[in-house]
Amino acid sequence: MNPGQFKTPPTLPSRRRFIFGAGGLVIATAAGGETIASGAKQYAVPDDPRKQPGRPANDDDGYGVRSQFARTHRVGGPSWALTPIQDLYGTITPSALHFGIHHAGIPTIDPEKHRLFIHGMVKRNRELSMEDLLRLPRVTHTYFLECSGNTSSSWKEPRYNDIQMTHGQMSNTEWTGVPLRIVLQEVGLDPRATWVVAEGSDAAMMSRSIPLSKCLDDALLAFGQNGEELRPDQGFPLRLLLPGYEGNTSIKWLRRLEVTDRPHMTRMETRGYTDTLPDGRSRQFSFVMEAKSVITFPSAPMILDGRGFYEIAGLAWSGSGRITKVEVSADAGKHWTNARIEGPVLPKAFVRFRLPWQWDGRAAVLQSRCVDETGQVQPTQKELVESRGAKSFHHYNAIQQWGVNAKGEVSNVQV
Amino acid sequence: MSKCRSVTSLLVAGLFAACLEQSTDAAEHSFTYPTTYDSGRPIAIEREQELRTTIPPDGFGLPEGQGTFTEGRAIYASKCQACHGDALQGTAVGTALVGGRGSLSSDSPKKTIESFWPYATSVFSYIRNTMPTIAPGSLTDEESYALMAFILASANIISTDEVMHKDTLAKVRMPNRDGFVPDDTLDIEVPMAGD
Repeated sequence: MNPGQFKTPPTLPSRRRFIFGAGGLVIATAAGGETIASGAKQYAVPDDPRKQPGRPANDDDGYGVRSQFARTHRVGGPSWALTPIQDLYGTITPSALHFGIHHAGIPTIDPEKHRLFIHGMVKRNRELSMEDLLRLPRVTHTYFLECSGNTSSSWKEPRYNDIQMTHGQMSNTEWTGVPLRIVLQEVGLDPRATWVVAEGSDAAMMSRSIPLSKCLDDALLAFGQNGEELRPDQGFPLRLLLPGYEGNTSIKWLRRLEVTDRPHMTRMETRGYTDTLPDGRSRQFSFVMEAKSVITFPSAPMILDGRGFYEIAGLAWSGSGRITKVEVSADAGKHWTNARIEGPVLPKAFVRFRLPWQWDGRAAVLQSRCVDETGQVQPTQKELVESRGAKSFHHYNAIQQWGVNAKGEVSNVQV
Repeated sequence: MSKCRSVTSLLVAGLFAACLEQSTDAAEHSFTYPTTYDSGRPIAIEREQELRTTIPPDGFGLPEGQGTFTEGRAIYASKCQACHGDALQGTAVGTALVGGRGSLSSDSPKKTIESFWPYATSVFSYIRNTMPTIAPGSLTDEESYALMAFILASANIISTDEVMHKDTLAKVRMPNRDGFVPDDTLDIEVPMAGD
């Protein structure tokens, strides 16, 4: 997302109490006892569900709704929505909870009228309908998407005492689509071509220049999200999906691909998603998301319900490949213990890690750090600021620290 | 019940036989991906120009037309000023377009068209494609050139009598033209205009 969009701290979600970990029962209480049950239908609750026939299976008009007791929800504003990663159990982000950063709102697009134009340095310009694309060979893969602005509030100090605010600009999805390679081979690439400009069909005409090598590697023209059509906020009917790259390059509502021999220096790759260095110059085309992990349980602003056993849980991911190791420390980094990584460990996708922890009731600082198969080690905040300065906004991948005090209150700290 | 069963087993046996037959036939089917799919339709040549909406630094694809400072000032007043301010200084809803030169190496860099954007072509594309935000894409090519003339002169990058059109716009040298470095992990060259 763009610098400055977090100027006003948005309304925080209700303070979560008694949350029994990712993978367990989640009970959230909104301020003033008000309940939040978006996306659900309200039914009368019988005293004993065994004593009353249940409702018919087709009561949902053919599209399921979640339980009226479920409370997991995104938070956001007009141009952004953050994933409640603290409340998610596994590695897949439900489509209804995927994060979104939009530069001019969410367009409504009729798939029958939608076209993908491929032009520029190609032998055969092509205009493809969705019907054309759906005839082509497809693949299904799980990949994370992370906004390069995720955790941007932590460069100088722990600004938000809420994991959804610090780390909510990331999701992990099973995507289905046509390998972009197939379509580019179809149009006949000029041998001098090196870049592809991708443009969306939203009012921002969101556009980025992408190295052709990436387009011929693992890039997807995606139309499937977790087994069904893309959600409108994820680019329905068609989006680019660039595994491991910063989220904004996976252009939503994809309308145009222009093959070229140089980047077009669009707003989003000059004014937008660049990283200003201490000397005033700005790093550009920093595509790959770095190795990163975060403990999602416990995390701020949870409150631990007394001393005893807790299963620490979190997520780790890298835009360069597979995660090979996650370590956890409970003493501000003095000692580290290997966490258990749950398989399958897929490249450029979330892994879930877990580690049993006996909390003795004293203050603790919890943190996780990961290593990926290229040897990238997640840095500390100090190391990252030393190498990049504190003027950057994007690509903050430092170790997250959660402080736990004697009352069990978890808070965002940098010690 | 037994009759039912025998009917069922007959049916199953029949289906099985049919499957066997099909799998024998399968040798005559091709289960390979083709080398070409002949997907989609050619784009009409006259649509090419309309598709060039992201103008690269060398100006390739810039449209015909032109605009002046005076024309731009009038358009700015009616379509831009409400968000970007009467002196292009920005408001709560629109970014500052001028100022900030020399601030990028300070602790609070002020990023404007004047101080930060490295290419006039990027500004032109962005304005023409998306502005004003209440009527995105409604500016004509002429209006977009005129706004460029007005904004660039207001930012003291060109003089107020310079006319902006496809030959002059790409030649404008922005103050922060050399202020960007490609990420060091990028394994591809980033050609810049004029290099």
